[in-house]
Formats: sequence, C-alpha cells, structure tokens
Amino acid sequence: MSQFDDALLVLLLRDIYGPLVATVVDTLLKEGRLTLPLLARYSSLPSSAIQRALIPLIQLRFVLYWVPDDRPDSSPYYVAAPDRIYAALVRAGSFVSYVEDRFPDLPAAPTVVKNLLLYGHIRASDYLAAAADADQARDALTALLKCKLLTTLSRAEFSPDEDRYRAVFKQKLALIPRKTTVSETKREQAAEADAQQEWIKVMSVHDFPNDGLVLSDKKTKKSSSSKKRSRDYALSSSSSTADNMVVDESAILTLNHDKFVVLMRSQVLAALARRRIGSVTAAVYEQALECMEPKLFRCRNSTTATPVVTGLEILKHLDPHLDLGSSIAAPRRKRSSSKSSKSSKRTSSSVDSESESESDSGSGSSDSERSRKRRRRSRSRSSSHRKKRRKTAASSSSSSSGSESDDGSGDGDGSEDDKVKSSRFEHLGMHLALLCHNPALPFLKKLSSRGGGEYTIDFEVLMGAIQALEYDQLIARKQGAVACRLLRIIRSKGRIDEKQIAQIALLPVKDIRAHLTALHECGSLDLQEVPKGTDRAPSRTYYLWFHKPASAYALMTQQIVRTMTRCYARVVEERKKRPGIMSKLAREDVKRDEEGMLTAAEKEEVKRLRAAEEKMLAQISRLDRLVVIFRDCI
Amino acid sequence: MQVDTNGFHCFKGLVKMLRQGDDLCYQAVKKEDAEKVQSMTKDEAMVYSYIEASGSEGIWTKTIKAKTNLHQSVVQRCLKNLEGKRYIKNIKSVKYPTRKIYMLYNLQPSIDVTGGPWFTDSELDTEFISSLLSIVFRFIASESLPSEDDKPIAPPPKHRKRKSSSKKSSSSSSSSKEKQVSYDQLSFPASYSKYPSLSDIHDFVQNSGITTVDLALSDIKALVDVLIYDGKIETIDDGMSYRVVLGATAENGADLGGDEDGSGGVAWDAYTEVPCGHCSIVDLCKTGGPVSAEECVYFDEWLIQ
Ligand code: SF4
Repeated sequence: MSQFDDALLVLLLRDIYGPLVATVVDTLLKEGRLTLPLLARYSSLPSSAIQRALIPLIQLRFVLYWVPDDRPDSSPYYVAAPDRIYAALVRAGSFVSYVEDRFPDLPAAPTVVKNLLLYGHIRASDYLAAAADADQARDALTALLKCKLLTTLSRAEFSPDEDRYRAVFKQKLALIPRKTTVSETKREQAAEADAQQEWIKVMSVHDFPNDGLVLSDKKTKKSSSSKKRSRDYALSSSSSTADNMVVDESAILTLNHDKFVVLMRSQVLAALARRRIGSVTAAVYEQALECMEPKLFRCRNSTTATPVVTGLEILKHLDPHLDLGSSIAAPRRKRSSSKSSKSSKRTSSSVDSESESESDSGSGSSDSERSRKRRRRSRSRSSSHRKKRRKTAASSSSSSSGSESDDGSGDGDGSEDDKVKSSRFEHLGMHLALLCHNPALPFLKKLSSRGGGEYTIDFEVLMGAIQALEYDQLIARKQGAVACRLLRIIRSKGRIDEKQIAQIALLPVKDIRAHLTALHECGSLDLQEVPKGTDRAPSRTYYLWFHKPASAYALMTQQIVRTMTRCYARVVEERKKRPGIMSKLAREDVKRDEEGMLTAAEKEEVKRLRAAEEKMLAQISRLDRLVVIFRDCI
Repeated sequence: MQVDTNGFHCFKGLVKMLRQGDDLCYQAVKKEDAEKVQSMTKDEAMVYSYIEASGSEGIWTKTIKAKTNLHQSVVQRCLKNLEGKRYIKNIKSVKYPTRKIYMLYNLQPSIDVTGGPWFTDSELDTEFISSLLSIVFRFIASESLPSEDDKPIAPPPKHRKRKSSSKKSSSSSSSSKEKQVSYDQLSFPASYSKYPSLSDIHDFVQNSGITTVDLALSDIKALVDVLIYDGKIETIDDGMSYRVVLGATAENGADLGGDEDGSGGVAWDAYTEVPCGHCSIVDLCKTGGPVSAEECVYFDEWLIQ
C-alpha cells in the first residue's frame, strides 16, 4: 500500500471515527508495528486515549495485535490492516446495495451487513437477541452465511497473517529434529514447505460449505456433517438442499470481504461479456459464474483450483424465460433462393450449424454473389447504422416470427418436451462456445465434453487481458486514441524503437514523439538506452520503448486512489464550508423533522450539499471498481 | 584487333564496360542513349554515368561530387544542364528527406526511396491511410456481423404473451433476482467460418476502386494490424481471419465504449470523468499544497454539472 492509499484511509477514518482514531491508524501506517508506549511516543497522544481508540479499531479488525508466543506477558504489538480498512470503508456502500439486490425478499439482510460494518464482528446469539425480528434476522444470517458473504471468526484472526505464519513455521521447525547430517538451510526449507501446507489449511478454514451453520434441529453442532449434503450444496447455488441448515448461534460472525471481491469480479466479467458479445450470452455467463460461485472463495492467493462447471448445470439453473436461440444467427444461405419457410424450418429445428455452414461454402457461385452483395452493402453502411441494424435485426426477426409461426407451431405440435429441451441445450452450447472462442478475452475455457461440456475459467489469463483492456481504455481517454495505439504496439512487440513504432502505426515519427513522451510521463512506458559504441553519444544510441504492466497498473491504481482521496476531501470540505447548516442538521429535533425545521434557503443549501456528496460518493464507488480490476482481482 | 573495335565502340558510347565479379564484360548500349551521351560534355557524361549506375535508388549530389572528383560548382552546372534536357530528375527520398537525390528521368523511384504506397511526395499520406483504415474497418464490420438478412436459428418465443413477458419484464413472473435482459443480441455462432481473411480484404480493396495505388497483401496486413492495435477488430481462427470488436466504430475503438451506462456519444469512465483524470497539475495537488481538491475550481465546475 502506498502512501496515497493511506491518505484516503486516514481521511475516511477521520471523517467517520474522528481525529483520535485517524491519528492512531496514521501513526501505525507510517511507523509499522508498534507497542503501546511507542505508539504513544510517535503519535504524541496519551496512552489512555490511544487505548480508547484501539478498542473499536481492534473490534473492527482495522488494527491487529500480536503477542509473541515465547513472551506471552510482554506488551502486544499493534499493526494496522490497510486492506481491511479499505474494504470496510470504501466498499461499505456497494456491499450493502449488493446484498439488497441479491436478497430482495430478506429485508433484514442489508441491516445485518450495516451492523457488521459498524461493529466488525458479532456473536450470532447476541445479534438475534437484539434484533427487532429474530426470525427474519436468523434467515438473513443463514442466507448470508450460505453464500459466504458472512464467515465465522476465530480469535487467531485478530492477529496479523505474517505473525501467524511465522508461528506455524516455528512450530514446524521445532518438529524437525536438528541433525548434524542435515544442514540448517535444508531444515528450514523443509519446515517452510510444511508450514506452507499447514498455512493453506489455516487460510481455508472458513471455506467449507457449512461454515457457521448447523442443522436446524440443533442436534449436531457445527458438525462437518454428512459429506453428501455439503457436496449437494456446493452443486446447487440455490438453497434448496441446504434448507435445514441454520446459523449456529454460538458462532462469531463477520463480513467476508474476500468473497465480496469475488462477486464484484463476477459483475465486471458479466458486464464485459455483455459489451463484447451480447446480453443473452452475458446472461448465460452470469449463470455459469453463479454456478461456480460456491467454490470461489477469494481472488488473490486462491489456494483452491478454479471450479469446473458443466453445461447441464448451467442449463438447470438458467432462467427458463431466457430465449437462447433467437440471438444466434443462422448460417447465411444462398441469397438467390429466397429465404423460404422451409429453410427457416430446417434451421429452427436442431440442425448442426457447422455442417450447414460447410455445405454453404461449397457452392462457389453463391459465394461470389454474396460477396458482391456485401460490397454493395458495405459501401452504403456507416457504423452507426450497424448498431441500429443489430437492434432492428432482433426486432424484425421477432416480428417476422408471426409469419413463421405456421410452420413453427407445426413443429411444436410434433415435438415433445424433450426436443425443445435438447434444442435449448444445443443453443446453450452455442452461447458457451461464443464465450470460449473469444481469443482476445477468453471468458471460458472448455475442458472436455463430459456432462454437456465442462467449462472453467483461467482467471489469470482472463483478468490479465481485462487489466490490459481497462488500462488501454484509460490511456485512450486520457491521452487519445493514438497514444493507445502506440502503447499496444509496444506491448505486443516488447522493446522497440521510435522509427519502427511509427512504421507499424502508419504515422509519421514526428507525430508520435509527443505521445510517447506523454506516455512516458504518466508511467506507462519506459525507455531503454542501448549505445551502439563505447561512447554514449545520443546520436549513436538506440532508444527502445517498453511497457511494464505491473508497475504501470500500480501507478494507475495510485492515481485512481488519489482521485478517490480528492473526491472525499472535497466532500469533507463541502460540509465544512457550511458550518451553520451542518450544526443545524446535527440537532436531534431537526433530524426528526427536517421539512419543518429548515427554511427554504436552508433546504436549498442542504439539497445542493447532498447532491454534491452523492455525486462524489458514487464516483468513489465507481472508481473502486477500477481498483478491483487493477489491484484486487488476481 | 578486337580490343580496338571495342575501344572504338566504347568511345562512341555504344558499348560500356561492366565488372561482374572479377571479370570484365561489355554491354551494348541503345543507340539513343549513346547519342544522348555523345551530346554531353565530358563532365556531364561522367556525372550522367554515375546517375545511371545508381538505378532506381538515385544518387546523392555529395556522392556524385566525391566519386567524380569534380568541383561543386561544376557538378551543379552539369546537373542543371542534364535536368534541363530531361535526362535526369530530382527526387525526394523518404529516408533522407533533406538530401538532393537524382536519378534518370525515365525511371520510377524504388520503394526504398518513395516509402511505398503510404507515401505521397515522400510524406506519409495520413489522410489516405485513415480513409483506407475506415473503409477496411467497415468492410470487416459488414462481414462479421449478422445483417437484417440473417435469421436467428430459432425464432423468439411464438406466443404473444410469453414473448412480451420475456421481452419487457421477465423478472415480473420469475423470481425477482433476475435482471432485466433486453434481447437485442444477434451473433454468429462460434463455428461461423466466413469471417474475412486477409486476401478477402485485399480483394475487396482492389476491386472497390477506392484507390489506384497498387496495394500488396503486406500493405493490407499493415492496415489490418493498425486496426487491431486500435482495438477495433480482432483476429480469430489463429489469426487466419478477422472480425470486428463489438461496439467499435470507424471513429473510435470499441475500447472507448466507456462504462456500461455511458451509452451516449462521448465515452467516459469513472476515472477520466473526474477532473483529476485530466488534470495537468495532478502531481502538485494535495491537501495543503499549492493546489488542492478543497479549493479546486475544476471540481467547482464539475459539481455544478
Ligand atoms: S483536485 Fe483539481 S487541481 Fe487537484 S488534481 Fe484534481 S482537478 Fe487537478
């Protein structure tokens, strides 16, 4: 985390929790781990005040603590957890609204999330006792646990991961006896390997399906219960088979930000599929992602293999009203023979599209005619027409369905349910194939044809491609399309000099120089000098441009976070500019009756303030989407 | 005897001596050419011979001077005379735009000199290129997207009721978790095999009569590559054919599509629409600095929008 990320966190903390808390975290972020006395010294705050600030911070796990095992009575170290602070503060709004969207029939669910954002962690029984409607709250907790947006929390998780890993390592090292024949480094390596294995187990402790859930009859408590059930649950994203599981009241619960990032990533992926392929395919993709969801626990440091989803599974859960067939174009037929009803009948029944397209290409005459026709078309067509045409194509085909309904219904009469199903399955396969055969963005990867096709996602490749794409978009908008073209050339060629770039880009050298310098300035390009001789004369030196994605993305993320900081700073400032109105708004009686207590001018002022706030906060959460892509996705 | 004859012919300029490897050989010279040379002064003939030898590459005046050992002014005068008689011409080289280069009047400059079809008068013809780019793009677009003639493999649901329900508000009947999907997609199946290949595009450009310049396959490849770098098209079938990237326009790459909801003309995204995304003093800007978000005028404007 860079300093600028920290600035955002401190700003948020100051605004939400006050200056004391912000100073404590700021000191910890700047100085690293500190004991209480040191923290007091560096922050020049009295210890008692710091202790007061640390209580909520630890409760929220914004600050973690560590007591060395070997010196259990020494004073603990405190460490700030910037990732968690970021997730909890910046993503709070998106988290709540996501839960609102996802569980529309569970009004208590967003409340649970809000409370957990406020308190950090809660014992389930305490929450249920305090909740207005215990049954609703129970349902909400259960549902959130099932989809893993909630997890259980153990005491150990109040300590930093690094220290916990160190402890595991020490333990493992102690288990391996010291021998004269084995060198100390070998021993450490062996311990390291053991520790890593153990660590994976520690990290995935919340990953099993029934984490925090018990059978509703309360006979078995947090049992690893019948394996069959857990597998069933993993298969079905709906809660039907896991119905009799409810929240374990003794469990301590907290929000699972890792899982939320997974869900955000899925949204990004689906949105991209919608843009690059189409809405129907995107809906299929969304379903595929949803089927995988129970087995996707986190984006970064994922220890489990990417899950596999089958075509049949997707079909089972797919919205039955989603019309798959009408969004796939039939192979082009001979233009000379008017599109007879026969042909549409043939295509609408399940004809293998591949064999058909082959037979079509066989006839040369129709081909040439087609190309002539195309040529005519292509001249008259502008791209804006094209978009429109795609729409009209869909609507015209829907309107023409009336005329086709004769043979269509005839078809329907003869066919049983099976036939419909099989053609639906075939259409689904076509959408999945579209997702697989997308060389620039391989949304899916087909593994085999078992179970109606086994699919998985190579997240590393896909997210890498998406990062590059997003980055290019930002560059294109910031620096123009030419800069983006140059950047892509450099990316694909590795290291390349100005003249060659100009040649490939079909642009004059003098035109691209300014763009290259601008790209250099914003950190997306680097320059390497390769002297031709021993003297490093500029005229006898190659200048090779290259692009380092990792550092470029990091810089971009930094810029984005800085922008978030500025937006938030402005929100704070906007409030500060209106001290009168703010203090009035803070009054209890005004809170109760804003309408009646404020003058018209004040109302106007409040409206303006709220609009600004809203705009900025919405912007921050949209910027966060970019941070997800560049920093948190893989 | 033979030598004598040759000597005579050489003198007459009808045969010229060439060196091929280690051997000397002779080549007959056309009579008109020979007469041309005959009419020149000795210096002119010498200059002419070097220019002639340079072929379609042309020769730099400095090189002529060095090779002939003549004085600058003499060379200049010879060149002027020869140019006046239309025996030689001055050409511009793409590689060395500042040099004065001469070649025989009746020769076409080589690609090295002219820079190929993209150059007009040794300048990169950006307008020509961009018009070709957009034409090629439109061709690929028309080839790789279904048109109004293309039917879906299965018509949309037949029953009016179902159709309307699925078209407008599928969520009303089914569980409300589902999002509303507008069904405006029509894609070729993944097995579609008629995306245009490089030679298809080449044929199209050649037959379209857009340009009289002869474009080689490699020139078309260069154009197509630029379109790929612009994010407007992509390769498919292991680079054998091309298709348009959905949402791309001739003016803008698909990648400029912006955020989902930003369907308007100008593309924006969360970062670049905040003033800081475009700000040139971004590095100076921090709380308490010379400029800061708290006092930023750009923000003032943006907030009013
Ligand atoms: S806040 Fe204003 S001055 Fe600062 S970077 Fe943003 S636009 Fe520029």
